[in-house]
Amino acid sequence: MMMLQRIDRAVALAGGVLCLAVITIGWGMRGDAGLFPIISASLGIVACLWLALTRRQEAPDERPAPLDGPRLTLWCLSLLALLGLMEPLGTFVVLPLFLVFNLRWLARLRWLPAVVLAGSFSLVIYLVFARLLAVPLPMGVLAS
Amino acid sequence: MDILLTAFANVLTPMALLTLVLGTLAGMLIGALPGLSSTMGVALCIPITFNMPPDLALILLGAVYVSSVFGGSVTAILLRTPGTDASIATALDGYPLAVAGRGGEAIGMAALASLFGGLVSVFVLLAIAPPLSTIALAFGPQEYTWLAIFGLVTIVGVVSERPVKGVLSAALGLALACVGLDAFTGLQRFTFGQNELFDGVPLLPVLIGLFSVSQAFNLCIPRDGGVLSGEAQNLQGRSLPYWADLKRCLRTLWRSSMIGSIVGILPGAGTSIAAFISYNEARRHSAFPERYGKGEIEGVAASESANNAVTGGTLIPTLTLGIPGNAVTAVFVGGLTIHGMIPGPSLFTQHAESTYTLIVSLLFANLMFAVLGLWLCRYMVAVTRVPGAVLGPMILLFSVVGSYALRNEMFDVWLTIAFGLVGYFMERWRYPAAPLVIALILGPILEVNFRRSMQIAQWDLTTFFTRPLSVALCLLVVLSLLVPLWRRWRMSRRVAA
Amino acid sequence: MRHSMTFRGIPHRSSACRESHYRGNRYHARAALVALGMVLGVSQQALADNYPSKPIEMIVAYGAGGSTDTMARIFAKYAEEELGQRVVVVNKPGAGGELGWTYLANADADGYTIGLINSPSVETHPFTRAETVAYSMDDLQPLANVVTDPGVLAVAADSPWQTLDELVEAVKAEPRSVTVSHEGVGGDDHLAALNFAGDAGIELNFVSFNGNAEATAALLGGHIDAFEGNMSEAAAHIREGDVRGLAVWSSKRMEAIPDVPTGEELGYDVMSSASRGLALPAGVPDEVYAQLLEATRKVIENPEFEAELARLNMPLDPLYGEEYVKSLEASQERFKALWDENPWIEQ
Repeated sequence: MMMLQRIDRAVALAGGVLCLAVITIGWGMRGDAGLFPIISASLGIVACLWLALTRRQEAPDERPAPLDGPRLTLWCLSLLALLGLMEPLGTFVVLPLFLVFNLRWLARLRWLPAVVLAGSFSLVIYLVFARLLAVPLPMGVLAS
Repeated sequence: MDILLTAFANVLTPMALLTLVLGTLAGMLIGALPGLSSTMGVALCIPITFNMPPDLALILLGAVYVSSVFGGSVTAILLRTPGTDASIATALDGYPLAVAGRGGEAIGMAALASLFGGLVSVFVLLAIAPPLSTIALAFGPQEYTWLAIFGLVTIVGVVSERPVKGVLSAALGLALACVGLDAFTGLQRFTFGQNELFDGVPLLPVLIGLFSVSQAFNLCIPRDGGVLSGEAQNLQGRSLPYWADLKRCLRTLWRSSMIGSIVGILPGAGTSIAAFISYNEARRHSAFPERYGKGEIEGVAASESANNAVTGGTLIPTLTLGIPGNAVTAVFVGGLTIHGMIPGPSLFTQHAESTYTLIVSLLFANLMFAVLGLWLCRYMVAVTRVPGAVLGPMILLFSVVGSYALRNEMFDVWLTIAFGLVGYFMERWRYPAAPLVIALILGPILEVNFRRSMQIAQWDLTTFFTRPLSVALCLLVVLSLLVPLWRRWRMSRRVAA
Repeated sequence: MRHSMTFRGIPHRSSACRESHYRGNRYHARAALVALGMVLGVSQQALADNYPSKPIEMIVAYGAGGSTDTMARIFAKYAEEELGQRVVVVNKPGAGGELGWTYLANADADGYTIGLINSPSVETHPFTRAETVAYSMDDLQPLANVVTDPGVLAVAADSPWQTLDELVEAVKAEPRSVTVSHEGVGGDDHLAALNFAGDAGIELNFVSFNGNAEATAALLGGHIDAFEGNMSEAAAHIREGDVRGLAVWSSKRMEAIPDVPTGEELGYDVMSSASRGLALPAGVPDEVYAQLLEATRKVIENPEFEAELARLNMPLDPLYGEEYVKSLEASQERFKALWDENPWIEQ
């Protein structure tokens, strides 16, 4: 686990590279279109240098709060599945599945409350967004 | 006077009151859901008003408008998921209060402050709208440039323990603000052929990502995550703010309502500028500026009274000049014209009755959401007791569906999630997200008005210092930069002595 | 031409994304429907016979609450009566209409997706943004024009110039001294102002604005000297008397502002307008097309519809089927020639 101070240096380096790229692209723009990209990226470079070269005196360096790796991975995977399958399978197929998965394995609810909660929440989303507000959410296999 | 009485009589009919209640509830719901902005709420109501009598239609639109701004603050306080940019500043102090088990108090304060700001701006609208509308015209591109700089300067230092992190976050936001089709040259900047980006990085996906989605991460990933911190779980919590707190905030309420009304009058300036300027002013005048950002109820009061004062303010140029003050009122103009009322001076003569009915109904709509807010807040607070891992997926799904609903584009959903991940790590590594969002809002205002001034003045930079109003705003910027430095210097001398 | 961007070889991952996006749900739905149709021995003809049998989606390429959206919603209200089916307005705003029109061009050509197209943007995007645009006019089947909103050049009421000629004289005396607003490079106002400046042989100082509200505020506040915009937006101010219309770029004077002379009357050969019409994805069955055209004709000829548009200062300008296609083609050719000669955006 890295200390915050080192994370800040890494962020400063990445930010600096990004800003340099913005300046390079901005320089080639026609007219005054590149002016603001260059100004904002220069501001970013100044901030990055400042961040990398100074350190906070008053407080000691610390570590960020510990990260629960397996839970983060599970959560991100379920998120990817939700977004990736929303169009091919349909919002209202994936939505309850995502909820059941999360409630069952991340929130550790029992099956019955997990399924009931997921079903009723999906129904609320359907009623509010698809019916009341007429948002054309991808319907996938449920179309027509 | 007669016309006012007629207007009151119009609003107090059973049908009108029913419309008012329904509109207020719908507005609060729309404001509270991430992704559904006030603009969308009003736009969605317009087809409904097609077959309504004009008075009822205006009452509905007005009620949805003012209550949606308040609705956003409820979720901003309880869950740190601001529905729109108007309530970011509310979340800064409201959420720490909720974490400490004082969510009810914070919502109570938000409701009263919104009521206060709303009423002040409606009275301003009622009494002195025509002379005030000249303010909207006095602001040229040069003045907007200074206003945007002022807004940027006030926010960067406010929200960060290390100001440099705020500056970096803001610089990133400014760079993101440059993305999209440049209206001055027709050039596509940093879009990489992605035509979803032609209009720039859309604000709401970034906002929802950085705040709501990252909050869903926060709630889900720790094993026993939740809103309330350790001891707070056993706290009973009150649903009304203390009288002493209210009295203490009275000056802030007045100041913020005035700032909100005036910023509201300026077309295109936006609600979040008003909220942040007020927040910063409240902090500057406070005896305990160090409490801000850690759960200072005065911060909630400042931001909420300002963002609701904007609602009345934006209607001033809309109704008197036919120039909508923001996106919501632009939609409002559409609603008015459908009912045969062309915004402009004739509204106060030809259609005086409908116009005053609208204004009076805004008074009632403000009262209505405040009463509903105070009454419902004890129930709404219960949401903070739900385990984080149950709350997280639901916040996430609202964010996903809400960001899809913005433009009906899957691209925006991916963008939201990407910024959610960025926001999660920014928070872990203590980079404030608010400066990024505010820079993304103010960046285009700053750039467009700067370049527009340059087009008008043909690249003569002195134009920023030769107009009286510009000079005044320039002084404001300089003062807001120098005063904190001077204070710190005086403090250090006192400590030394 | 349809996915020209993939051929031009700009390396990015969007084409796959976009493909799946457009082809997503409805592609599968349609495949299923066709398969079902073949199984049951039902031909396309039969599908057209009971058209419309489900709600019709109407794509608006601009945001909810804008003037295009307002017109679409009014049209949809009357079209529902004619078609006997719900007409659902779906906003697909972005990139100056491009996102919505690409979506429309790629939609199923079964008559259940129709859309609003805004000229001249719809026909100029394919060549001004040739490298990135993902639709061409061949992908769209224009149905009918509804509204044509001419351009207007106006000054504030306290401006020293009473007529267009006085303004031209002032600029001739001191080139680039007069600032004129427009709403974005390459938009119809910008092109009209360019056209006018070229015709009058003067040099104007163009100032770009993000929409009518900002430009009007700047004009009334005296921050700019003149305003180039659309009639529907300026008419209310002209009638109130706080703005003076100097010229309207149409072939005849407009009912909403009868005192404003046309460019032709003043001796300038400038014509400019923004028009809004209806279009379908190319390849809609003929019977369905005819049915939609008939319904549209009935809506446009409905006096109540006209009255509602008149309140919004939107002048009706009906052009049906072939006529509309021809006018769009002519306008595209005209702008293409202008572009080839002097591109207003350098690529």
